[in-house]
Amino acid sequence: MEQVIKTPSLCAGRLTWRPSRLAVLLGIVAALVIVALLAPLISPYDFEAMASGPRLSPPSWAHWFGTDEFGRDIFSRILMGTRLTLMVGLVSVGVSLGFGMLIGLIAGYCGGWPEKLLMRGMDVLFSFTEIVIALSLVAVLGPSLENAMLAIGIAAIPFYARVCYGAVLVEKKQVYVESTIALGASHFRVLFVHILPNVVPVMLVVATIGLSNAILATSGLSYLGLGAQPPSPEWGAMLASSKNYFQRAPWLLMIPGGCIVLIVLLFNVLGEQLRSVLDPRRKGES
Amino acid sequence: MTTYLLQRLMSAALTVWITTLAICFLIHLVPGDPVQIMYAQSATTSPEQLEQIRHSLGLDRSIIHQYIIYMGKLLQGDMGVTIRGQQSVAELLLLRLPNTLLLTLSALTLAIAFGGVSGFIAAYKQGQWPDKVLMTGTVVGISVPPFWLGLIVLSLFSVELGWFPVAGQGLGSLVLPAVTLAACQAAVIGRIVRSTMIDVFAQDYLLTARAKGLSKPKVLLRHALRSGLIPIVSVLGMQFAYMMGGAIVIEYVFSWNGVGRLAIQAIFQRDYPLIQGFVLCFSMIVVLVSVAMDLLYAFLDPRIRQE
Amino acid sequence: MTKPLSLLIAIGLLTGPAMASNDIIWARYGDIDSLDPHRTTSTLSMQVWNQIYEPLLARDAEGNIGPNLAKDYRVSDDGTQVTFVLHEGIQCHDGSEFTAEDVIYTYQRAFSETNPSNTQSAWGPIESVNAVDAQTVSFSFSEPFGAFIPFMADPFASMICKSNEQSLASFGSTTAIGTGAWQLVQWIKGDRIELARNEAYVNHGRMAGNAGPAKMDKLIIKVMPEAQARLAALQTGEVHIAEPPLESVSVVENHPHLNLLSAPNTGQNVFIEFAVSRPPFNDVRARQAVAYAIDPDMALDIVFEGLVEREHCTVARGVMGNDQDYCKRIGYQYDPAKAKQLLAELGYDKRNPMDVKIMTWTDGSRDKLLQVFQSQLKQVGIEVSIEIMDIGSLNARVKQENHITEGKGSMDLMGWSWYDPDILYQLWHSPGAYDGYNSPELDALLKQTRLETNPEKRLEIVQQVQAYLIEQAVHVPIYTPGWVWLYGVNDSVSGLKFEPFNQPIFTDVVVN
Repeated sequence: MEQVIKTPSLCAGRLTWRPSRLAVLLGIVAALVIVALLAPLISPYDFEAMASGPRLSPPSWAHWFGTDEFGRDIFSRILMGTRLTLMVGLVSVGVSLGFGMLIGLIAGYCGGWPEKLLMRGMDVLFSFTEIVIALSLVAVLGPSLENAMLAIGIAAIPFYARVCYGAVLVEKKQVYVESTIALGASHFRVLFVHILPNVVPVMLVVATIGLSNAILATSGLSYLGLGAQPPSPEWGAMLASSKNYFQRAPWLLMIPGGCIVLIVLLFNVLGEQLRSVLDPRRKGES
Repeated sequence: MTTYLLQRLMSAALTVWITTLAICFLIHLVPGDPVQIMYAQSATTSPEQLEQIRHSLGLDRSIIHQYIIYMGKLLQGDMGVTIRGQQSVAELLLLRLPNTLLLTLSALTLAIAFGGVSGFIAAYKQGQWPDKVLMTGTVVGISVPPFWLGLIVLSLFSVELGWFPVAGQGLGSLVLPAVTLAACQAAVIGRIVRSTMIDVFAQDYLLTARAKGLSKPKVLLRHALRSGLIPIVSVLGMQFAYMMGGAIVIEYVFSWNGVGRLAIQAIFQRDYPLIQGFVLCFSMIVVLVSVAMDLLYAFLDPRIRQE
Repeated sequence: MTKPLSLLIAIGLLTGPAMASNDIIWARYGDIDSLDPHRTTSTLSMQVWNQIYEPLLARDAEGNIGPNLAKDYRVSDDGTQVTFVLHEGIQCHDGSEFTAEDVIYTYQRAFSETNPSNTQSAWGPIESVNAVDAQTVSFSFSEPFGAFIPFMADPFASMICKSNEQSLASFGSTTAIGTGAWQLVQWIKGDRIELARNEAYVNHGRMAGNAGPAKMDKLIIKVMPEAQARLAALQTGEVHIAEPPLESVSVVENHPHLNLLSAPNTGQNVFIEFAVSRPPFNDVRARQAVAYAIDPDMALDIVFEGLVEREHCTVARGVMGNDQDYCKRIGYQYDPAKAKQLLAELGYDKRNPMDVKIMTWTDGSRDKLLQVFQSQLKQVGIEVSIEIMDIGSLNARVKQENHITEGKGSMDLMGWSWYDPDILYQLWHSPGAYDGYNSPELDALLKQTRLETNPEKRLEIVQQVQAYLIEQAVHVPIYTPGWVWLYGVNDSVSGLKFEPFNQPIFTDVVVN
């Protein structure tokens, strides 16, 4: 209905403009991945080396982002931190996406008692809320970056499972699935060849936005001292380690914090762009 | 309606029961012995004495036996005592819970107010500059780590400007944590409200109402707002849960005396009875609120009632 | 957006911080474990219970021991009998009179069969305690015990009133009856402890100019774990006294309304110790390699910027045997080449580095110190991972690590504060506080430090013990003081004093 209100020319303009914005965003992501992979090569200093410069020096030509309390170069640490941040995002989203999709596919396709059992289980986990699951797991496993990203990945499984389950239900009702079964295709084939490819776009959007959630949550745990441990250049851990210099050396807080905002923002915007491209039915929601 | 109510309550009870199972068994995965932690500093407590203490706490019995004991106590409102300080877990949580709820509800109110208004304006001005500005604002809003925002807000409004106290007992000290906690959720609510209102605005009956000659503000308020409210109520339970979760970190940053800060401290101290109590208490509240919200939703939306 | 915000601001201005004008508000990073002096050894707890209870004797600023609850004491010629004469008319917080029975009650709790005091061994080889009359109490020992008199002036030997027996279940958490200048109102775990002035208080020997009750009505001790919030509250004047984060001490120093006080004679000693139950640290060469590979002077300079001093001895400043020149001579100088040589002897090299972990407890910039050590150790080929935990967990973990016989090697940065070289007995005489290193020779030496009552001869043995511990690299001293010894104080506060071993006294404190 909203399209009626708009002038046609605006709509046409949008269609040509949107994919290019997506391309720009994907380009930034690719650049980030390259930076993360090449971090040790392109860092001006060793990210661990103490006394790379004077301690607590503000941003300058020699140290673009300044130095920290040990005289370590913050720019080099941020570069290495990019690698950790992307890894955190990928691993935790990998865990939630893998298990979540598996559960969603089985529950949605099989129906019956597996559906009841799995989805009821997911409901229960869901009502724990992600942060409480993550905190409990870290309390049990002990604080480390690996445990934190695992905990956050596990905590988000119910959400992914629910979305996937919903998408499978929609696909299952489509006429083509029924006809494929009628033609004698195996369940395995129907599930993985016919349903899965149609579920993937939705999950891709969810996973992209999920990346930003995972990165935010992990940096939060690291900040509390329950995630990455010193001297890791994980951005949340950098914040935790430098927060007491806030009034003396504010860049120690503003730079890693700003980086978290930017990378989370990037994946949020990317997710929305993907949604508007892959899922035109929900265009209005942008 | 009654069957829906019953169903909802049954599943809530089931969730709480599974929670008790989970927290009771989770503790057994933990490396390290709580009794040893309690008596670690003592050079003179003999292994026999440790064994005796373990026995008195019931830790030497089978897991199932321990669970039965745990449930027996729990049903009488006894969540055990903390490892540090030997205080009643239930009392500690009850004492702190009002503070957490105060923080969460204030933040939720602020978030609904800010998010609701900006979402409404964005939808009303869809595609125009207010919409773009507000929506850009909300994307940034959901991308800011709350703990980081908290630190900045604290040093800006407390230390530099001196407007608000840091950690007093009064309402004044509620402002900064509540606004920080609200900021991120307001962004989420704003987006939900916007997309809901866009759908509502596009519906036929609004056009009909306009066509009937009702003035624009009247239409917006009476019809659009009311039907826009329903989807907001439907996500309110979940928003509340997110807020409770977000409050944990905010309480820590602002030294707000709630259950979240208590929980983080308990994790560092490996005070397992307190962690168990916290998880149980937290999920019970989340479940209760979500049941209440679902019922409210069913009440507001007749389609659900008939199902 | 602006309207609700300005409304909120108005609310904030109207309510403001809620504090009464006659309260002292003191914020610290952590909470107490217990108010039972027999259940915890943490400084955070002790600083609070030291306001509630009192020991029989007390120290002055120089650490000399004088009367307190006891107006006089006698040690028999053979050193096995110690008799205290108590002041008359001292009242417990519940109004009951403090007598010899209360002293006996305290002793009996410390030596309880089922639940003895954490510091029971510090009391020495007591055989019996008897009340001669209501005001006279006598301790009998199986052998002379030189460290007893100093212990009786320590907060660990705080006297607990017998009337606590009526509320034993809640003792240490919601009830705590003593004779001190402040009495417990409530402890809200994780948030604050409220103490109220004891109106009946008479000061018999504590370090306060004031002979009577405290000048302020209440002492509120708040828990504010987040250092930035604590500092902010100090800056805004919401709290009167708070430990600034060590990284922001200059903020306090440069603030127009804040002063920085440093507790003198903390008795604190921060050192590295090793799990000797398994490789690599069961070999003295591995421990020595660590001692040679670290450069504490440089590390302390980077991390603490002159706030702490290098410590060379295993006993703290002001304690018998703390002779920096002597200890430095027998100690380890930074010598990475030597460290590498020792590692090579043990079969470690670049391809096969020694891989160990180091643990310490939260706060006080210790995590940063370990990061510097980590980087120094890496240079000689020792890979170290860092684990930070709360002090209670650390105490438990160190003990656990000492029981584990295989797996990654473990060391820890530990801190103790004690008034007497007897600390070395408690740490290293088998089994020792953490079941760590012990040997028959060391046991024999440590035993002698307890039996010898002649101060000069005792000093000689103490120095032998130190030489042994340092040579074996069992106890590698690093720095002093170590924890919560700095106090940012609002300039409206006057009269804050410190007893030795970082015990603040609030009886004279006035907040304007």
